[in-house]
Amino acid sequence: MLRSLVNTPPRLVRSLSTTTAPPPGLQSTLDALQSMDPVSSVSSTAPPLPAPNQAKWGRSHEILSDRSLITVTGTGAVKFLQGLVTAGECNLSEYKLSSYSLCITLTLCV
Amino acid sequence: MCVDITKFSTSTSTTPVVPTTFLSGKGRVICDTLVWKTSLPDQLLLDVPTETTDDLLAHLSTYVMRRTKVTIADITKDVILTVLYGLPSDVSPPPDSSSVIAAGADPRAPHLGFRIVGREETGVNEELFPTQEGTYQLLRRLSGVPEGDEIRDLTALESNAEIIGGVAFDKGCYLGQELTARR
Repeated sequence: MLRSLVNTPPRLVRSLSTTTAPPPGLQSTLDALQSMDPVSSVSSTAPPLPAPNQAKWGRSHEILSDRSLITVTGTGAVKFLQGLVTAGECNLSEYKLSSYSLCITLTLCV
Repeated sequence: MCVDITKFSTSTSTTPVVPTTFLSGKGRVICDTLVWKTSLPDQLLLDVPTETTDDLLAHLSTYVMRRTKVTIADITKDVILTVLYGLPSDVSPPPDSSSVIAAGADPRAPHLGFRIVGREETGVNEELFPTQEGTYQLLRRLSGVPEGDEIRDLTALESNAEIIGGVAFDKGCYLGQELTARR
């Protein structure tokens, strides 16, 4: 290992040493940062982080083509669906009676 | 028709949409559904996966009795369902626009966006909300919200229906309640 380093040609050593140095643009940026007051520079220049739902990368839209839309229309639409779905409604007192009557209707029909 | 999403305030608490599930007589899932209230007082809109539409229509028609005062119609070809993702917290699409039948935040999970059911393409601002196909399915699966064939013939509680707010244990009886309520 030591022998291989000693025998390394000078040109290769020089090229390795140049690649470890920061590129010119980065070096000037580092110099500028070192000359600034750390606390005041960060608080004045860093933009506030956006909230997750406000990040622009999170905004998009999509038209859903794999959904179907069915209307249930009529004066008995709410009562009809209340007896068939698992979800409730805000006005439970009204729908309890309707779903109860629907249940009786179904029982009689069956 | 272009939706100006900056003129209306968001109010998710009054979202006119409820997640729910239709069950068979044996308590097994026929399909998951979002039930929308529309501007018409006697009309409800069922937002269902396409692969379960035929089963749902057959199921509904079974229970339309002679005295049942309802009309069931498939209006899929006449409307467009759009979802907006990543809305700023202080704006939302207009719920009372002339071409918008119903609009509201998806109640099943907060990341599923804001749904707009419109009679025509809602003209979303492409610069602000670029098209991103496949987002819905990805977000839906990451949120643990199953749909369509994924939950067919399961019970409601096996399909996360309770977690997404689709089961009411304090309502009156409904078809398939016996298997749902005793789990």
